[in-house]
Amino acid sequence: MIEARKLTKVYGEHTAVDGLDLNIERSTICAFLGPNGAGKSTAVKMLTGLLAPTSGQATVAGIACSPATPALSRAVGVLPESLGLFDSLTVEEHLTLTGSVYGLSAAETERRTNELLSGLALDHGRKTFLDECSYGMRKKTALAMALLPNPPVLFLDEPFEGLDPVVSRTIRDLLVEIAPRGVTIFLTSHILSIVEEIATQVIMIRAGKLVYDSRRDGMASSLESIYFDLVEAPRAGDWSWLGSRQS
Amino acid sequence: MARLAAILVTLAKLSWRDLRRFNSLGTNNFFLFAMLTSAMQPSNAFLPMLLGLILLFPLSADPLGRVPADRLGHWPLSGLERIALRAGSLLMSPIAWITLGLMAWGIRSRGASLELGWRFLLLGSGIAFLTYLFTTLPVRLPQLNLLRWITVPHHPLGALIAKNARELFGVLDTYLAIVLAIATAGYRFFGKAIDSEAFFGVSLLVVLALSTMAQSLLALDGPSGFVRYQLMPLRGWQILLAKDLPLLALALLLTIALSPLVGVAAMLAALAVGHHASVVKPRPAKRWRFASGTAIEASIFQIVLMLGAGTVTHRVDARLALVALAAWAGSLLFYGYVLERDRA
Repeated sequence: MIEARKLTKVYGEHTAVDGLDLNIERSTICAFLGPNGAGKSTAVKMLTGLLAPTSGQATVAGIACSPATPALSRAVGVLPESLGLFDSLTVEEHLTLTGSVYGLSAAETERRTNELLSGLALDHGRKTFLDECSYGMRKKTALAMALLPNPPVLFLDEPFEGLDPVVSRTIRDLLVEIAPRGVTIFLTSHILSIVEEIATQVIMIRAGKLVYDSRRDGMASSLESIYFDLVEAPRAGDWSWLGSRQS
Repeated sequence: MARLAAILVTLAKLSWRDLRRFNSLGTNNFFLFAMLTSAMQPSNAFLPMLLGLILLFPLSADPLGRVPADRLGHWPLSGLERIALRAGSLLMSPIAWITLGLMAWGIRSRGASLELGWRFLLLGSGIAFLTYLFTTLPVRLPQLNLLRWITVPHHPLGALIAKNARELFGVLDTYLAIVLAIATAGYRFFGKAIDSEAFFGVSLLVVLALSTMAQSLLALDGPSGFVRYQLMPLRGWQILLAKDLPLLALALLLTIALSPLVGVAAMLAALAVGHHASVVKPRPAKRWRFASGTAIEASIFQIVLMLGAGTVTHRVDARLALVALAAWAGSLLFYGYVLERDRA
């Protein structure tokens, strides 16, 4: 469902993504892990057509990943890093806009909107303009926009960060429920405990290069220990001034 | 006392930085035209005064509002310090700086403008109160938020058009155009009879006030909104069309009691030229500011073409508006293609 061959993005002298090979099958929940600045968001941008690769190719649902491709836009639902929201629209209006742009009928858009707003605990703020919303509400709105058109592939950039435990649990359950129905989910996250619970494939990158790619059931040890071994070990600091009497 | 002083110094710094953001006015078409006409005819200060009056609204914003309320609440300040901060923050307003400047000038010139200073303070305070009502009431009583009156229909372009129409009301240029149009239309219906040529002239001024926005069509969406456009299965020309139509409709609405054909022809020409800057040199914009162009030369080129299109439509042949329409359509398709090409 998602394939990439030698996918590379170079900015000047900096190689953000370096020869990335991916093969993700239908109905997979793939966790794409790496530290900040490892190239995760750049890779997601290339796979969703937001960014043209410097070299290499990728396809999603059989469609070549290149910018301004309406067929690719219809095949993917994206929760982008920047959320992609408009301050002058309310939460509900973002979903109305999405439904109409993706060709859903008004009745179907309304039905899905009501279910999403209720499931994501957004119904109380449905008439709130985005510039008056909390970060959590903004993120949930962007997530609802990704889900509403019912795309076969979902790209979710850090879907759990900044959300309350109940909504985080709801999203986890939702992803686990829809994947077996044929939806392929590609997500980035720093919350390893959630990833360990739901991912069926784990990919790790460091400095733009792939360092690990395995099915979850083929992993020899815990996700955390693999991550600390291959990507980045925890750092120790001398925090002796913290908790001391010095203000 | 030291922490109070630190907060006040920070407030002054924030006010000053905010004030510097008004330098975008330097490439605003109406500002350039107002400066040019008052330089040619120093006694005619009507246009700069009108601009100044509109500018007082963002300038009169509460300086303490620049500190996030959560942050302010957590700072370890006593009740007395909070009162002192509230009082001291008023001095960090540009309105206070202008008032003090006028008074200092009045004292130096033996009282000539001391009264002017007080009058300015009264005007600034009145505007600050109106701004406060305008910004806080819609939050407390959402039904008073005029933006909600522009409903978002279930139509791919209609929904975007409604969103973009709302954005027009976050830019001061729109209010300048509204003041000009309403004042002239009111004069037409209730005042003395005036030459019809005046309506042609005011129509051009109304569109001039709106025209800089044609150079910054994507500015208020910001990088986040631009990402959403990239994700949508829409063509570039459709995104631009959804930006153009609210501006064209507003130009028509505001000039309908004046010279509507002139207004629309001039707006079409302004958009045909403005697409280039909007797509090729996009610049971020802030709400409650005047729109800014990319460069003075670009603004002058746009003004000349826009005034030319309005003038030939009025003076030579109304059918020449079709030339402006063709130029706009060509520009829409070409820059729509450029927008798609440059998305990456």
